[in-house]
Amino acid sequence: MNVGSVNIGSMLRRGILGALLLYLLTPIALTLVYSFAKNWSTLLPDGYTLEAWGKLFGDPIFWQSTGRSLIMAASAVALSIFFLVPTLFAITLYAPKLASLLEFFSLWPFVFPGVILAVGLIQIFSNPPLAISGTPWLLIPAVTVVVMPFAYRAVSNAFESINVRELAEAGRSLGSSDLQILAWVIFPSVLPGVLSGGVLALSAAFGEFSLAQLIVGSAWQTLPYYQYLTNSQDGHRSAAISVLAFGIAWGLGTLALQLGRGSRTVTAV
Amino acid sequence: MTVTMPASATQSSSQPVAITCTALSKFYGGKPAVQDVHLEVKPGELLSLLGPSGCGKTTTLRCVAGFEIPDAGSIHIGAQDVTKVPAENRKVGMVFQNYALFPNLSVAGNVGFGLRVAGWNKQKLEARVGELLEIVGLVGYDKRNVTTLSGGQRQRVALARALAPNPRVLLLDEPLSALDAKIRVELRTELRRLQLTLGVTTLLVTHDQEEAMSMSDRVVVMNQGRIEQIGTPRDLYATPATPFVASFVGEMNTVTLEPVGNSSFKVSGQTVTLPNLEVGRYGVRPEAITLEPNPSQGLRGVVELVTYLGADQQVILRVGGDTWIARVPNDLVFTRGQTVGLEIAAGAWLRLS
Ligand SMILES: Nc1ncnc2c1ncn2[C@@H]1O[C@H](COP(=O)(O)OP(=O)(O)O)[C@@H](O)[C@H]1O
Ligand SMILES: [Mg+2]
Repeated sequence: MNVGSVNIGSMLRRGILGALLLYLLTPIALTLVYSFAKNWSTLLPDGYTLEAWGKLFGDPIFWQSTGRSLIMAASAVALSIFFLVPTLFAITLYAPKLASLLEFFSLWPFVFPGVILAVGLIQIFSNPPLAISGTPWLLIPAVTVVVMPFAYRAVSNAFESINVRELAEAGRSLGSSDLQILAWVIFPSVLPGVLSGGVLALSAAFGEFSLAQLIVGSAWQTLPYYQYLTNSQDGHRSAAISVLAFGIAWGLGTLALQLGRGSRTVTAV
Repeated sequence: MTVTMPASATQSSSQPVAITCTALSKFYGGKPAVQDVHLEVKPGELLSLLGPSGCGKTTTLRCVAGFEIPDAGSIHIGAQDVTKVPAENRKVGMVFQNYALFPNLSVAGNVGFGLRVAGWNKQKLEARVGELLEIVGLVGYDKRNVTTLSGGQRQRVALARALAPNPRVLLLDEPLSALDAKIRVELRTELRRLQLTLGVTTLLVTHDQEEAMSMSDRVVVMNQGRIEQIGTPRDLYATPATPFVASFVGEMNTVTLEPVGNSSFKVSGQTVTLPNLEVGRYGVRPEAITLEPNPSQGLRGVVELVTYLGADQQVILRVGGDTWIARVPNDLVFTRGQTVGLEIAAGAWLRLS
């Protein structure tokens, strides 16, 4: 029966979707409940309290770590965009054949774990003349490298929405140098798209733990490291941080979608 | 929309200059895109490069603009040899098929871009931008985002942007090809009127023969990287130099006259008497043929298809093994399968090389 098979098909689809949602949302929901729980040894918690959240928001170290994470993530993403836009511009104009090579290199941070990078960096930068290990001055560049694959995608997608080569030619015929075109046309044109794609990079940088732990650790504590320390003292507060981090990621994702919508209307033909 | 000219715009700041290409060649991966091209766009003239897609028109134009360096030959703008001068120093205005407007800038920002680069002060710049918006009929659009404009409006902005810094010459690469048919024809007239008023030397690339014929002082017909013929639209139509030009510019029946003897020739499998002609390839324009319903002598054909075209009609005929096209007045009615005579005046046989 045709009708019957459609019904079974849609039921199956709904069932799978439901199961998936349950699978994804249950841990978050339980974490949320746990962050409010008093004591949870039986099926349901003994009672509910705002204690964990209160302690978290009352802790100046928490605010400091969050601020540092934000600064670090924003700097890393800004740096990667700052490097990638001119690089892609130059490659598009002068050496389009190298584009695939650049894309290949941009994926390296996915292939090699951050630990390798961190250990290497610590060895090099622990001694003079550049003894910056243990400081954000080493952490931020390292995170910049790690978020490069995300940032590369964002920039390269934004570049595809405009005809860089033709815009550059139009500019040249008007007497402008390639640098002027980059600064006055290409950069402002791709920025909305880059920012929308860059939110993913921001999220990845914000949650970066292994580099932060190895390079700076407690010397310049970021939010993931703060949570790591909290976890051993107070599971409820740690759960609260998880929920908070999820909320931030959710907010960033929504922001990305909105920016993306904005950039599409700007570049639409 | 009509072109309105502010008084100051009609006087271009400098005398128009010529563009001269000498023995220009450009290869891509060993394959010639442009080969041994010699051409001169005279001061104030509009010259079109016409030819099928891939024949090297854009490559030639890009060499003049400075986006490509030719592999051989030289380019002069006026007296200056610009062959190796970078594009940004050539002072040429360029208009692209897909407008290439700066998406982050307003209409005024686009039009004023070249002036901003040249360091014009704000007051002069704004005055000049206003003048150009008036010329292209976009007064009041200064602050509009270019992405909200129609195709025709965008191309006007692109034209204004190219003209703003008073370029020595104007280069147009298929400027109307991305537009709707109606806008295209409108803008064609407007562009030509503007070019005549400003007197700016213009090189136009197009694959549309109607566009080239209607807009140009002279047309260069290109084929496979080489020039087939240079001439006024009238010359090209009346005396095409090669079979290619004959068939590319307007419609043309092309045939070979084979010898039979005594001013008699074999044409499309039939023997006809044609005094004053020689053996060789000839072309006959469809409108140069008269169809005779009761033929007595000469070429005969069978009507295959009649297309009513309003002002006249097109008749497709089978003559021996060939297909002929005739364009005749509407007063006679022809039916499919009917045998008719094709009468062609002696002067209508165009010798093709
Ligand atoms: N950048 C390029 N690389 C390789 N081949 C090219 C390039 N530009 C043009 N060509 C080739 O050169 C020939 C002429 O191209 P073009 O000048 O664009 O033709 P048109 O403008 O008349 O359509 C074509 O065969 C085209 O494929
Ligand atoms: Mg072309």
